Amino acid sequence: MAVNTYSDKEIIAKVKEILEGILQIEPDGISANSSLIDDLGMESIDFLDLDIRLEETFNIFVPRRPPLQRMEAVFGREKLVQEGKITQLGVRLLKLALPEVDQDRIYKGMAERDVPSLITPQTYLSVVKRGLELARWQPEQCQECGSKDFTPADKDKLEFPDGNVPPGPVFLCNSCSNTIIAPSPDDELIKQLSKEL
Amino acid sequence: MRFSFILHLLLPEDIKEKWFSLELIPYEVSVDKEVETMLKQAQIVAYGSSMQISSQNGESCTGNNWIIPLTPRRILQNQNLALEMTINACQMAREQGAEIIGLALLLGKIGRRGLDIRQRVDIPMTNGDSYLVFNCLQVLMRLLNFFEWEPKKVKVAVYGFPSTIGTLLTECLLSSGINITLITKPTRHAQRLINQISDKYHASLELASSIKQAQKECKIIFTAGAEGQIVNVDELDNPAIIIDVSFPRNAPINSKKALVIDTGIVSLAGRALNVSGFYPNKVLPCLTELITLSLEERREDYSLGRNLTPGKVEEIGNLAQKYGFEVDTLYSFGKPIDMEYLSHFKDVFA
Repeated sequence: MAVNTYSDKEIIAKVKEILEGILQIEPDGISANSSLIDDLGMESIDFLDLDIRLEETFNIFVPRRPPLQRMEAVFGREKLVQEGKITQLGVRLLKLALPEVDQDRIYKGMAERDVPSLITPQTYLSVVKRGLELARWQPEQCQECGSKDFTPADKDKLEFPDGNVPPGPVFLCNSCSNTIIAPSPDDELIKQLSKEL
Repeated sequence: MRFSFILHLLLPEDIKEKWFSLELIPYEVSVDKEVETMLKQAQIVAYGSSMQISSQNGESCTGNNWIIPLTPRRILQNQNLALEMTINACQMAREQGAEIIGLALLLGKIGRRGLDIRQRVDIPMTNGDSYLVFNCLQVLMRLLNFFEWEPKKVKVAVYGFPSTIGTLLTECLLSSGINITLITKPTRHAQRLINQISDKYHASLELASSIKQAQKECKIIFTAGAEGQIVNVDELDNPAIIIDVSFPRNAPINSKKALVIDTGIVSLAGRALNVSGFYPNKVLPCLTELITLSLEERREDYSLGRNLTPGKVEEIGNLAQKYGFEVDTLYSFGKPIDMEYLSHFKDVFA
């Protein structure tokens, strides 16, 4: 499937256009650094709408859950949040996952409930760019047989363990029929955070 | 006038034990792999026999239910699938003669609170939010009456502002003369709305940063948050009555300190209205709004998107009362509240 390329300016413009539709507000009311919650009053159900529209517009995958929740499943909640406050590891995670945010605003002991306030259209620029990068991914060679001959696979026609459809593209090796799955964007986060531990 | 009510499964057990039976009320969202697998193979179906509704004044309408075989968890995980299934159900309902459609529970929230579905199917729709808020007010008035508290002397707390429902509820409470404490973070957006509302109703809204703080003055708390569980009833400092407007629920259990009252059920007075084919004597607020519009022959979009108004809340509430929908019983987790138990709170609050 062809993956389009977009400039940062084009992505931000699209994000703002989508937000205008969801929030039913005037275009002037949104800047790239508006907090989606504190300034624009986004509700959790609105984030779902935003994710879906971005996926449709850019033909990418957008993670449904925020990074803290995704990493809780890997490291355990107590490593990232204790008594409602972000731990040192949680800070590291947020700084890696939200590079566009003023890094001084992420600190040990910040309230977990304040994290969503950090999200801006600029955050979604990063989300879209990561999504586009993932969509462009191609394997170098089959890890089973070493072949470099692949065909993109239709994910809907494949069975995955526990029904968890991978976010990125999937290929079939034309030599040994091995299924090759693009690494999850969270793999790198997990690797980085594991080092911290 | 013929209506169709589109709803989703509430619990995976709906499909496991009582395939498409609607006797369960949404108190929790559980997960069961075996059931989830079954759900993936399920199809949209029309449920039950046609509902025949008639009022004592001779107005009548008919309708039916369409079931989307998705649990709340799957709807939130795969909103596209939920939207497509709902659009299909709406189209099928329309082909079978429906003139207005009600989107129940989460189906009325996804896709810009129903607007996306409406854009793709040419039939009037409503998600019932206006009547839901009216029902909240009725529940409150019932409670105040029971406790013999004067509305103007009571202060209630609202958690969930500035969500769409939280904001509408705040406006309606103020227009009913109720004093309010908003449990909210003073974000720029919240502050803007507070200023607008304060000006409109000439009221000063107090803010609290937590439920515990609000409890110092408020014995009754509305919860309309979108985040799922936010109230740990065992950790409350003082006894409280929580009127839970949210779905999934903000207050998932009762305790000695807290009585959680449902707003997701409307009693049928039974005198004026005969609704067959649903719960005995009770319906969901979104269905109440839908039936009321059908009896009124109002072929129009009513509650959709973010633009809900106190005027619509009042209008639909008054119309519904005309047809016999009213709060004659209070429910907690689907069961009628024992008035003796409620009296216990009367003693505690005294």
